[in-house]
Amino acid sequence: MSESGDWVALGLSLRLAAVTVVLLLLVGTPLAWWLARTSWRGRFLVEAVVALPLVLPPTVLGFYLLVALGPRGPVGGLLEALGGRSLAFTFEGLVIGSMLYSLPFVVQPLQTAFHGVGGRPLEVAATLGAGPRDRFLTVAVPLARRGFLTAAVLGFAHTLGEFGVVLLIGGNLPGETRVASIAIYDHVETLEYGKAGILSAVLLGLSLFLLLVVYGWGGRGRRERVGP
Amino acid sequence: MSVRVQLVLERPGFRLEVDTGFPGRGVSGLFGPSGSGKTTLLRAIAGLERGARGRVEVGGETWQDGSRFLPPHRRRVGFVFQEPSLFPHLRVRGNLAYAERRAGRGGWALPREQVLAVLGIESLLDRFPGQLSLGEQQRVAMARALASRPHLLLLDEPLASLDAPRKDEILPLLAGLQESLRIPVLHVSHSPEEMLALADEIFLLEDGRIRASGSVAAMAGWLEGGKGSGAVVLRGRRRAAGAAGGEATFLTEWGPVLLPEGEVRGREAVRFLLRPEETSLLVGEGARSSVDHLLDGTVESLEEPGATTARVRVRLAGEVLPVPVPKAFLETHPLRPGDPVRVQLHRLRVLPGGVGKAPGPAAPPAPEERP
Repeated sequence: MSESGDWVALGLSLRLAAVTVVLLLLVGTPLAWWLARTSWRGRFLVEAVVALPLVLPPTVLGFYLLVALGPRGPVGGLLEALGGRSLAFTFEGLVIGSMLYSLPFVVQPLQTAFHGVGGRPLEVAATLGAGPRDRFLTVAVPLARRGFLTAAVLGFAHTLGEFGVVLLIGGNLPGETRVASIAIYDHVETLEYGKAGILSAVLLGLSLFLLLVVYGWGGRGRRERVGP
Repeated sequence: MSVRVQLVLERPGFRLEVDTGFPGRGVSGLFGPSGSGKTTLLRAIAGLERGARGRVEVGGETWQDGSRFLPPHRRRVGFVFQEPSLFPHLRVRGNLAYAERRAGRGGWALPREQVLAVLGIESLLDRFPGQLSLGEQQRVAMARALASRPHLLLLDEPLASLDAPRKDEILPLLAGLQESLRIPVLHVSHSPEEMLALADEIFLLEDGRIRASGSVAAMAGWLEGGKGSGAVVLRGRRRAAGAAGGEATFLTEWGPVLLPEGEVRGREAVRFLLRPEETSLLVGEGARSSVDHLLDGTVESLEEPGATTARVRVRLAGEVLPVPVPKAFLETHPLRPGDPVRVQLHRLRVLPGGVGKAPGPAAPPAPEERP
């Protein structure tokens, strides 16, 4: 393994995390909003499914995805029948796997934040003439902004660190599915501890930095709310 | 432009059932103990209670009937909640603009400058809600409600979250604003003082139903010490020709009344509370005391509730005041219905409402003395 191969793997990890987080925010925001606002009794069912990746071994998730996305799986088969290609061992497949794997890390902070906004500001906005969409965009989202930051950072960092799912559905194709965590594993396998150490240090620093952003920003927010 | 409300809302252990009309102008006070359904009624009128069935009509617009339920953002309503509930992420200016932008053309139930000046918030425009006191926040919330060009203003105990000095500071401002509004106002409170100072009509709510209603003058007895207490509220306007010696003359429905300037502090209109036990009866032409609160009336009827104290019900303009007199007095001065008498007022409790000349935070009206 060359040095440049490690940087490619790291770049791929960052790209995967970024794409995953953007897509997850798009999908997770309405889901979290619905979970925070609904009075439906079956809500706990959805919450349990969303939380599943927290406890499921990543290899289990990866296994099912591999079966589903592969050429003989329902999704992969459908795609091939439509003239596409199977998603197993592709970047797109990795994105889908990462989205499922990191779903709770995005949905849960958002749901908590939306819940914290409470009903009152939305009722106020309604009496001032704001419709549901308007209320969501101008009141709920700005008031839940800390939840968005937490969701984005946790989703990003968690995707960066995934291993089991990637290994099963992505394999180890340089430039396509060989992400940083896989590269570290490879280095250790071939006893290249130096290279593994460098890459590990980079990931450690990056993760710590991201968490510092979350907690630093939160501290400032708390002081703001108290006021002078 | 009247308000017609016929609503039923059922919850476990509680049933709200109201069928009434509110006047199209002026302040309707909804008074009642906590848990009587005052807040729920306001919320249902605003469309915030999905479970409420019935009709709501405001100024010829139907907001709700059997087949239609306008969502709250389609009802032209201004709502001031018990807690200020400003948007914490927007400055005061932004909070007002939020309402203005959605009100469409026209905006503001009263001229913007007037509202900002009366509520004393011009200097707060660039602050965030977190930097304001509760009283300031609630004043901004009131301005914001007025900025949304409402056809109906709903105030849910807007002063309840404030301490007594803040309350005394805001009450006159609120009275001043409500006096000049052209839209109906429903004001919820469980404070008799607030009702007497602000409301024109009072609706008594108990266990989800309206038990009694009437003008503030007629309902004062209900609010002050129970139904039979006979207390009344008088309204007076300052007479152009001011009186000398630090006193001002106010013209009431019952005749002119002199009040010390120190008590009315430049206000153009005042309300005062009159308790029967703080009045006495003068009979005969020569009856003229050095005290100046003397009103002319006629005897309506006689009541003899106690062993030593009787009551002479005296008609003064539209209202009847039960004036207590010693029984012995009636033996020496036999009175019959229709006889002219004079009622002397020993004490006029000036209520904190009324329209001030230039109220503002720079010189907030000090709390009224409540002996």
